[in-house]
Amino acid sequence: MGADWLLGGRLAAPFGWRASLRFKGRIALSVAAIALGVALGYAIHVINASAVDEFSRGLRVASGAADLSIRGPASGFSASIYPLVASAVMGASPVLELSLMAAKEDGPPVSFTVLGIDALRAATIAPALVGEAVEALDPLRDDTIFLSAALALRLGKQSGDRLTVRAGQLVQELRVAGLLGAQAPLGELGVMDIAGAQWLANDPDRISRIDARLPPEEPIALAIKRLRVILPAGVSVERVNDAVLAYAGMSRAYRVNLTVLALVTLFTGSLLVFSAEALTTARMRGALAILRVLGMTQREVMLALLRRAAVLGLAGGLLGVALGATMALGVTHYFGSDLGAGYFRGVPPASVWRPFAALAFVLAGGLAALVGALLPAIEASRSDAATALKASSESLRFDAFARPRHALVLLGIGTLLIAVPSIDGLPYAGYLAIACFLVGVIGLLPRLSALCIALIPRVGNVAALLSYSRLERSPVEAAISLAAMVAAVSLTVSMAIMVTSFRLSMIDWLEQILPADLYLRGTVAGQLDYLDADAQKRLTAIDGVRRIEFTRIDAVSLDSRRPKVLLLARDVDALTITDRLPLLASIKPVAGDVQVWISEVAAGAYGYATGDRMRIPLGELVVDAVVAGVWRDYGRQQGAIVMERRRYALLTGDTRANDAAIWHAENSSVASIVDALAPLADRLQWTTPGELKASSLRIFDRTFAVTYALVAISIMIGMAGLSAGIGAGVATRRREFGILRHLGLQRRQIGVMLACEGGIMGFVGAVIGVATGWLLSLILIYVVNRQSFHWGMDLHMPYALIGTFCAALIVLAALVAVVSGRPAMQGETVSAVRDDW
Amino acid sequence: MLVVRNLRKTFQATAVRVLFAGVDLTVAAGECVAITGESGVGKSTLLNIVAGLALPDEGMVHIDGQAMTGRHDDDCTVLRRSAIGFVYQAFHLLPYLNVLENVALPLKLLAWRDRDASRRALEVLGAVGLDDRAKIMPAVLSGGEQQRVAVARAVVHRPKLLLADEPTGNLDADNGARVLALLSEQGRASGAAILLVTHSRQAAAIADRVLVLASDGLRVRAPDTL
Repeated sequence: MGADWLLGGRLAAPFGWRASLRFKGRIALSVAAIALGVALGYAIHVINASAVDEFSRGLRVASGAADLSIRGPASGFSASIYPLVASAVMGASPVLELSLMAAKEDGPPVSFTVLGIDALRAATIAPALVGEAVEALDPLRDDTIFLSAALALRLGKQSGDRLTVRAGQLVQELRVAGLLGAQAPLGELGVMDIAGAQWLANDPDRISRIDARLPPEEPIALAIKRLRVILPAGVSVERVNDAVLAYAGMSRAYRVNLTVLALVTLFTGSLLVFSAEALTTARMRGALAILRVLGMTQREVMLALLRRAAVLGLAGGLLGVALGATMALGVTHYFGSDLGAGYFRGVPPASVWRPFAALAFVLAGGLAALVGALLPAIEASRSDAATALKASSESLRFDAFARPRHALVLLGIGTLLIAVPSIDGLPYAGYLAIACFLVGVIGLLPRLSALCIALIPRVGNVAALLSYSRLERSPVEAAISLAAMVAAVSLTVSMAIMVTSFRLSMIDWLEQILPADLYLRGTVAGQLDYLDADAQKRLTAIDGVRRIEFTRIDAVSLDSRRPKVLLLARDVDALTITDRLPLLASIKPVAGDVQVWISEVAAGAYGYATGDRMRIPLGELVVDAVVAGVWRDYGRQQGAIVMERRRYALLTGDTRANDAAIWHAENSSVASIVDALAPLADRLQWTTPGELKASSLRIFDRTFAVTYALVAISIMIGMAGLSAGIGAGVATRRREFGILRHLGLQRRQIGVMLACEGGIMGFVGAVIGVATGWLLSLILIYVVNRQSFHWGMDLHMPYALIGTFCAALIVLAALVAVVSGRPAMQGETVSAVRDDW
Repeated sequence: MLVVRNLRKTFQATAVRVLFAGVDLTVAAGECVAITGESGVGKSTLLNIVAGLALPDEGMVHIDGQAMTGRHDDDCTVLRRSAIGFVYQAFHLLPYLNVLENVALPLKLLAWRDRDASRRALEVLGAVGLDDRAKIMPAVLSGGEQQRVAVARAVVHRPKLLLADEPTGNLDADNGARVLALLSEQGRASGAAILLVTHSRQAAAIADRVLVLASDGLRVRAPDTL
């Protein structure tokens, strides 16, 4: 006859569902808050994980059973390397990757990637790339193409149709010989014979990569070492998995940041549970005291309360997973599986049901509720039963809040964590620092709110004075109501400051990076859309062009485990570079050295600083260069290196260009230059800096759309927390309102008193939340963003936005208080004074 | 000071039940009247109707010549805050105001200046022997001390009518006696009429008249027959 009997029997009634129905509003809010947090986390996880899986699967399928991938620069490398590789491995398959433009009858042309393969060799290594042909020899013909299902749908083509494609200056009609099989990579892709692709590339000697298969008994590391000896400079060998990891890794920081943001929302839900449980246990104090008198131990009381919270959390978790799966379906339907960031465009999620993840998120819901209920449960179990029975008080006192020591220690730990570098490319210490600051501030809430209330000038109105006095002398109750709101406001403000800083820094950056009047580039983003020497001459000779600068874009691999870095060979030199790039640091040039200016992202990812020497594989050369400067670049997440085009041409013999920037003469205009470009319309696409800026900002806003949504939901949970706190507090004050009415306060005056209380609570929550949010934004900007994405930004405060937001919060809090108090003010308030307090 | 005429109150349970009817009562300034009666007969309800906190089905209540019945709730409230003082069984001090603020609250409601309100509240606290506890919170006071604070609050604004609902119900005999003495002394000093609802012989003893409330009205009963 012990705890089990007590907990399982009638004495456990105060923890049972029938008793809990007294607090059904608070229970529903707690479950809903946990469900929302879990739903966001699960939806983001599922969308990201599915997209990465599908993207990786696509890469793996494209490489088939290959163990190694031999790759060169973006411009490709000589096919003469192929026999060398083929003789050194068990099987090899050459691939040429091209960007083509296909004409579409009922819309703008469609650009897509085509893989040129040798069907006979690919059949043994990457059979999924060999199309299902009606005629057996079609995969070997140079005038046929196989389309993925997605591309066929987009182009409206089927087997047997004719398809006109353009590659740079060449136009060719191909026959659609069939579709790629179900095992082919997803997304829009075409496959054709490598000879046809080389013809379209106007280079019969070029290939992009060789997929190689090793004998099972040969260790991969050994084979890599062996192949490195025979490969020329600029051509590297890497494990197929490395390429997959490199692409997945590029989006990892973004994915992890979003998941952490969703978990912060769950944490806000946890704080709502904290508020609700604190108020509920305060109202249960009498019943709990009786249980303690009857023989229930402190531990049993605490476990019973925690058990109830865990059940609520698990219920919220289950609901959340179902909601998250639905959200994932909706989001991918309307926004695509890249969540707006553009990493996985065109890749649909495989499934929104992931059993292990679902289980983990259900448990996370339970854990969040347990964390939220822990302090109230400890406090309730430790409260003095005799006092509770005598006073039957519902006032709240939390010993944990009475000792600021722990909160100060957390703030200290948070400060130390800021200095810890990233681990495996992720800012784990930064996240922990944010958690420490948030929990530390919440721990100090009674003191901080007392400080804030002291700042408010007293007015003579009795109702207002009563509200001041009440809040001033019930700081713990105020803190409990404010916890979720402070967390939500902090999160919102920190995100608002970070996003505003990023956006305004990006606008500044766009101003600096786009100084010309007109920008030209190939109609298809890709290797073949270059401007040869002749085209460059024609463009330079256009009337009204005062200045023209060309850029050659290449991609170089500095580390096989990372995505390739873009090499931008530009018409700049050590003198003009300061006008063309937003330099963050630079050194004086040294004559004779090859100088490069690397982007902040490249500097952060590869650990280079000004003055360092770096080795850059260029074609079949490896160039020893000096980092002459570091510049801000938000456009290329994989990193970028700028080099003088003159030097690039000398080193590689490549004088072609991909892009051009044009400044018009004083007596000319953009319109007249555009007119002059008309004859080149089939080869060029031009745009003004204004259009480029607008397009960049559209992409930016799209990328942050999910962030905004997460923050909005977090605010909803925070406000629900505040409402629950204020509402529950007000609902238990019928007797107080009764006595005030006896003493001569009109209903309207009680309404004013409640509005003042709510307004003051909103003000305090807003002040503390904004201050904490500002602190967290510094961590986001200077620690999390730098460690995640390696880019910096200038701090910009969105004063108007934060001001409006805070004003709305204060008004909302006042309204909530008045509305919550309405039932308690109505009816037989007089009878309330007949009961004990 | 207090005139009650033909008061009738019913309440709706399973059927309409008459709580009391035909209640007539006059309490002169400086007079103390105790009302007794069985539990549930409507003694507290009568006090609430007198205070304008509940509506009678019939009848009228006048305080110092002003009608309390038939007025708008806000008008009743304004009259109540100036003309009536309350003392309850459970003290009902506001836990977030200190002793001085609790006592000064009725004066603040009457728009007294802070300094004057504090001076008057301290004066009354001195009269109930608690001026040295002015700055502390009610929760740390004993029950007897809390009730003395409640008495101070009830008389601080010199009301015409003091309503006391079982003022000694939560107190021991000594504290009860002290509170009753204070109530009587302070009430009479300010010339207030006192209407006291009680079951206590000791409490009824301070009254000039003792009435018994029954469903058909008030009947006079001598204090020694209580």
